Amino acid sequence: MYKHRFVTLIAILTLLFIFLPLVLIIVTSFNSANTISLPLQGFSLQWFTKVFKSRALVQSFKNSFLLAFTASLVGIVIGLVASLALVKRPGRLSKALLSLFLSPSLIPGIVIGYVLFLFLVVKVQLPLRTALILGHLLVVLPYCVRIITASLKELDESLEEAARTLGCPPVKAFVVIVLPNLKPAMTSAFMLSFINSFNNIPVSMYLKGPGMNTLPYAMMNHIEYNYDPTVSALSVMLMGMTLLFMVLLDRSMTRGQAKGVKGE
Amino acid sequence: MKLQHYVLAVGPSLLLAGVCLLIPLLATIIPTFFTPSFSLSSYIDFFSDSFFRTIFYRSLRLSLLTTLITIIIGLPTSYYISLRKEKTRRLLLSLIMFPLLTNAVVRGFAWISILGRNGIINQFFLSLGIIDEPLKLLYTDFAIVIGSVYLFLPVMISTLTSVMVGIGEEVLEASYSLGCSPSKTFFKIIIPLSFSGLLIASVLVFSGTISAYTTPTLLGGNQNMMLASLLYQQSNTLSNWSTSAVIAFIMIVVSMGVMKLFNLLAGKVDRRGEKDV
Repeated sequence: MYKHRFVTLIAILTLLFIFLPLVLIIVTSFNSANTISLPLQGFSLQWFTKVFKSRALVQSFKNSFLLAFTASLVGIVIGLVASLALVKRPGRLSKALLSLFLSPSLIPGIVIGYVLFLFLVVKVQLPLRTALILGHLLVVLPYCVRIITASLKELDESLEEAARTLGCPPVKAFVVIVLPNLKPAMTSAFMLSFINSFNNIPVSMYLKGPGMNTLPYAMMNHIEYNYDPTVSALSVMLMGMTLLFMVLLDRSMTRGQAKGVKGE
Repeated sequence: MKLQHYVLAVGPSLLLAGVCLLIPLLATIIPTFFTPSFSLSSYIDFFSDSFFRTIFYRSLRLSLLTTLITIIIGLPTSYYISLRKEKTRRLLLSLIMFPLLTNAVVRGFAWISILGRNGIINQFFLSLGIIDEPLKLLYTDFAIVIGSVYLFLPVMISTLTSVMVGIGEEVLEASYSLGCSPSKTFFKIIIPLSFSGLLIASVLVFSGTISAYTTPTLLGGNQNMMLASLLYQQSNTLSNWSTSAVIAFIMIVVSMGVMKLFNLLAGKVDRRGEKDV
């Protein structure tokens, strides 16, 4: 290993820069003081109980969870069938459609929220709830399509062909051969979709109606009026959720790789 | 695959992206060019308003600054990570990616607690007696840049690291054995070879910063608006639909324009590489 004192120094400072703010939140969420402050005064779980006592936060958590779950699930299904079509029938049309499906990730989220609100809610007069789900579907579609098409392209076509020559009907070949091989990709797509939908603010901001606030926006409102460690405590719980997702994601990816090796 | 199956399969996504995004987008933006006959006057009006112009230039300036800072911090850090053994590298990368998966509100809140009037920095300096009054750190351009760097540094580092890992140790060995110092190797070998990754990451950071809403709103406040908060203010608070549509189109043009520009640049760099070979 070569010694680069300067590089090492910067790397350590960067890691501190990335982690100290998160550590600060974690530490102060267990602190008994009424504000985010150091030095610590004493251990307390009151901020965590406060999160559960806040109806706005609990309700918006449920809303966000359900919304992210629905959007990711539907996104995976429509993304999967679209990806299959795009990969099996390559050509100009498929290329154009692919960029259309990926485009929501290139357009600023706030613009998506705004035009959806203007068109779907004001002009077409869709109910807000439907518009919110459609908006979140748009948020997740690029992740689903990008990850699943990439995985499909890597998949060895001869596997499916072999099944077909051995007399397997197309649908069964798909379910038995293709689908299991896509599992890691679909898991990653689901996780990334869920995280992005769950954390989304700009789209939800325009399309949330009365009584269906999403969690990130509720947190933003909370910060505006209160400056206490309740949000820290909630953040710690969300970090825990993120960590769980990361571990699951990592597992599904490594299992996918292992399968790939075995396949060779 | 038969054509009708193809249509059936892409149908739902096409409906979603077409009817829920493309058509609303066009329906919003096309009218900005007709007042009532074709003209650019909405855009001329936007740029002749000094309030709007200030926000436009601030957004460009802060996004550019954020991109530069993430490059300066990201290059050495990624180099460091790329030189670790695979296990350490994976661990460091997941640690760095972790904030990216947490909510932008959480990250913004962390910086509010640090930079705020009663935040950690002010508490610290006040208790030491270095300052008598709290410094105004929050609700400044500085806070927006810190928050945005914090937001997008993981993107820069993960992209650069994966490119640098691909460079391979032989190249470094060659450079060292030919008498290049570590710093010279870094500037003459590592940076040029990771240039394409640097471009991609820069685009992501720049367009991400210029279209972000949460971070600039939490850390910049009402005094230091960026384009996204301006769009929200004009559309939601003031119901000023025509100006909002103009801002929306400007945001699309800027973020997509930068992407196209950098793609062209990246293409040139790649071709230059081919010629060298």
